[in-house]
Amino acid sequence: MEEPTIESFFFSPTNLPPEMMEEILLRLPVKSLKRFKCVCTSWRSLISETLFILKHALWLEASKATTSKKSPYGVITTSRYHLKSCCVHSLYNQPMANVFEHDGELLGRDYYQVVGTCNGLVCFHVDYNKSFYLWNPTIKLQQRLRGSDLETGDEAVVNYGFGYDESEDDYKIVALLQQRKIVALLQQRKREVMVYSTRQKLWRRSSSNTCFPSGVVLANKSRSGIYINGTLNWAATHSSSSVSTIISYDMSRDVFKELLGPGCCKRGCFTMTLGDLRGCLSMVCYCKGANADVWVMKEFGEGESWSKLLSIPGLTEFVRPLWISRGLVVLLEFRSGLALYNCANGKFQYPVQDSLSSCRDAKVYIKTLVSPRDL
Amino acid sequence: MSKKMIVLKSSEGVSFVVEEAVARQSKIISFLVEEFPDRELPLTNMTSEILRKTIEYCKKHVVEDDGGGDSSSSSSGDLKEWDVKFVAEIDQPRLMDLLMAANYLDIPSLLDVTCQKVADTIAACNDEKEIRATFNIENDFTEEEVEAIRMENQYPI
Repeated sequence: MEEPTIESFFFSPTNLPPEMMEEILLRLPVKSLKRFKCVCTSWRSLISETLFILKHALWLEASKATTSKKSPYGVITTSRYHLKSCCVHSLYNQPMANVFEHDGELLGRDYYQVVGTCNGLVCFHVDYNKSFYLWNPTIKLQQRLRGSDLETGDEAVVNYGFGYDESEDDYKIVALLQQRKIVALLQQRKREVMVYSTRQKLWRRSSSNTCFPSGVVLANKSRSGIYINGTLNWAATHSSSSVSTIISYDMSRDVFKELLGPGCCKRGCFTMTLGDLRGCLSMVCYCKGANADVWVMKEFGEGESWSKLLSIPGLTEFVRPLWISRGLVVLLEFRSGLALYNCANGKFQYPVQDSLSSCRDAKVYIKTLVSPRDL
Repeated sequence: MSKKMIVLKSSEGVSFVVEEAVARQSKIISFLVEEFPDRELPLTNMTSEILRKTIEYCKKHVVEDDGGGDSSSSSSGDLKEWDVKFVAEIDQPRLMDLLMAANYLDIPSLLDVTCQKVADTIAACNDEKEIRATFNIENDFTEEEVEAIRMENQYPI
């Protein structure tokens, strides 16, 4: 065989290679992708490919941490029976943010519980028909999924989570039931875990509850798991010592483990909520009842990487941070709505939008073309 | 200790003497200096202008080892701003050449900023005609296909 010469490493392609075209189109917002399908046949077929659509979603999820662009991201929220969405860019830049009402797009008046968001899909649990819905607010497509056999009642509470298992290219819903009271004889709580696979279109009982850390109970407020890095995370406490902790479920390995919380939690904080702050696991702690501290786990899974992002005095009803801008202005979810908080001067810039007041379960989603019907 | 230099030669035959650490941001050059040490590298598919731009980018992005490690990460915000300015000053045809250079020299960060700039240019176009004109793309749709796409876009897909 001939030895490669130094010259053979350089060649002059005349046209943009197709993989370069893909690299460029991946960086376009959904709006442009939809509009510019009609440029030429190769663009059209690329933009319509399921694999391209997935890559585009994963690219947006991954760039969430560093991007300065806010328009590919939206906030979805429920208030009473209403479903509303708003662009993150609009929340930051317009005194009157553009709020979209989605009432009736999914089903009639009902109470939606947002289970989670992932790759542009929003997962809801609907109480009255015990179903789940996957919905992409950007392309307004939905898919109804069967409910699990697990139900919240007097005896037990069910916590949910929604995420993507990259190893199997499968979107999954996790339902975790735990008994409210300790069964005296066994000195432990009954626990059951069921997982829905959108690929297999069925619920199956998971054996992962056998590896569930013993003596740990999910916090009541932690109804929906936070999806980070292929895992679902719930705030929890050690029932004997009341020390706060985090329970993490690995979507592809189907196992639970305990994650170390930030240092302050060793002393025990009375309320804490988890969140996804631009791809990082965040935790709000109320230490000594005075400050609301926001902690961020910079390297997911590394207990040492928790760092305190901000501390807001005198707040007790604040749930979690949703977004942070480069100028350190934080979009916060309160029980009464959304607000922007400027870390530099400690001021609330303006309470965001009356029409978003009394919203609950606010979650950031990315604007993608992922269709809940093609899973 | 003096820094090791290597020579890169453009398609016009112009030689550029560059610090090895700077040039090694290109994975292909990194490979070639090990395979063919002490030889000048003929970048026959790159004009002097594009090569100069590429070297300018690499010089800015080289990680200083002697400055105590953290010098590059502490100014990552500034570096991002510099990148934005860097690609903003380049016109469209040269931007495509630079993107291709980043691709065949395998410089991931330069490829990222150039792709993003091209994507932003596309997003800023008013319609598909403007895109075709800017990027020299041929419209290969039939009349019927164009009409079908137009209908499709009227309704949520």
